[in-house]
Amino acid sequence: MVLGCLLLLSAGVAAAQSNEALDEILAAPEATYGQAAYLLLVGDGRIEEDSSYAQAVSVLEQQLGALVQRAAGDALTLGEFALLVQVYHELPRGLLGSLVSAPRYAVRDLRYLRVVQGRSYPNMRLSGERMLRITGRVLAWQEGVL
Amino acid sequence: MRRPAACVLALLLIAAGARVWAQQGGDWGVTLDSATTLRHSAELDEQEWGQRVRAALWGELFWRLDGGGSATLSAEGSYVYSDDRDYLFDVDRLRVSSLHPGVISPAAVLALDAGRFGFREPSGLVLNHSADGVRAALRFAGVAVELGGAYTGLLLNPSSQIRMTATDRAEEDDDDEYFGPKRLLGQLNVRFGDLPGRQSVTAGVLAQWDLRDDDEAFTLNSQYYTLAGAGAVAANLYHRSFVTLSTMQAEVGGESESGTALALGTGLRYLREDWLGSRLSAGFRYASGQGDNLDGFVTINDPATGTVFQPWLTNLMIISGGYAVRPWFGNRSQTLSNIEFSTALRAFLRAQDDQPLQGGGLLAGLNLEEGKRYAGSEFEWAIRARLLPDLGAALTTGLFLPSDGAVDAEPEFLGRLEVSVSL
Repeated sequence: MVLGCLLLLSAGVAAAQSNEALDEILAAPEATYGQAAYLLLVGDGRIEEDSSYAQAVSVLEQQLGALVQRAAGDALTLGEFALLVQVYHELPRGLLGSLVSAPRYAVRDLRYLRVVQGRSYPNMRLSGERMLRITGRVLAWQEGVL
Repeated sequence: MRRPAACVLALLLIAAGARVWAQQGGDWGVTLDSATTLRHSAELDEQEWGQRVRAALWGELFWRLDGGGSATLSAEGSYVYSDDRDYLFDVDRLRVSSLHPGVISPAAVLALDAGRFGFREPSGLVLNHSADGVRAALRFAGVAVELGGAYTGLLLNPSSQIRMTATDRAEEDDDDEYFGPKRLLGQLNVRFGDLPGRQSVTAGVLAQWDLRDDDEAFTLNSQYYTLAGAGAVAANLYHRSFVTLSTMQAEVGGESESGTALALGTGLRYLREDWLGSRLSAGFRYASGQGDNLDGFVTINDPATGTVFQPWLTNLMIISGGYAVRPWFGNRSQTLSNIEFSTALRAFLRAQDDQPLQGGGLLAGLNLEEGKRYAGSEFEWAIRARLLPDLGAALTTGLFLPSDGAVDAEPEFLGRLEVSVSL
């Protein structure tokens, strides 16, 4: 019974931490590399919900390599996030995107899929809210409802 | 003492600018477009091949302004190779745009544009051309007012499609003319969106002044009053309609003459995504010819009236119908789902049966017997596909069959393969 209470409590704490992290991402005027890594990995269950952003970056780079030259706390551009999303979720690439893994081609490819919408320059900063919306559209595209 | 003050002022301006202009963004790219054309007609000894290649470099910068506004600077320059010309370098677009919400009224957005960009009147048939000018638009929730002015005399002659008079057309292939015809344009549009029945209505006034500076040359000033509407007619059925009244003042050698002309048209589109993304369309266009009550309609630039047969929009009626389908609509593959097959039929008639049709190309000399209105019909088949996000292609074929009333006219075939790549 004590173990069960501990498990319930830890699940509640983890859920609270995950909600906290998502609230923090949602409120971020400029999303960071660590927040992007956390968002990509926690959705797939590849990291625990109580993982730090630095841990998320470490796990992500183990899988994808150093696609973007950023530290966990550095702000991310839209192009860099688009590239991470495209490579992580193995989304279709265009002609140039197949030859060169570059943020500007990733933005164009995701715009074509309507995963990225609205004004979208590769070097513009993106807010946490926009990062969440793009992630949501990726899931919708994978479900075939976008 | 003045130099330090100027430096301080400059630094203050830069600092103020840096504070106002935040969150910059930008992008650039290169687009390559190729069009290969094959024409065949009994009038030609052999098939006629044509090639046109365009390489364009474009860039765009974006700033967020204080108060929720934004500013954009965009530019595009191109190099074009064609059979007529080995090279043509041009500036296709150089535009500064800005949005200013709440500047005039809390419920309105002020949009400003300056530079070289596209100008269009409500029907899109009288004027749809780039020019150098300015435009201001005030956009409320249900109403938008737009005021603009432009000049066409700085467009390169090979790039300019402003051909209203015989002199304009004679200069079209004249290498001694560096710049295109000089026109001054003024435009006022008022658009009412979100009307009952999901309709929108636009009323527009467009004025054009011929600035040709030769006193002996034929000059033509014109004004266009357009009422255009668009919206839903029924479920999945949409219309786009317009009527344009034109007044003209022609002058040559000190003598002037006035005229009045009319153009109107309507188009229906029936969209059914559940039928493999089908689109059915039907349309009618009319442009007056020289007659008892009206004069020949004159557009500022020639709109596309057909694929093989391209008469100018004057003394002309076009009845058209078309169907497009995407057989793999909804397929998981974005490439397959975007492949579209289409077919179209256009019948051309002259509005006045005692005035000729006018146009260019092999069919420029199409003469109809007296009293005959029907000039012929054009059949078009096309396959279009956005194969990849940065690769598109289209294959278009067309066949024009002249009517029995056309004198010594032969059927003409055209095929065109277009490929577009973005780098």
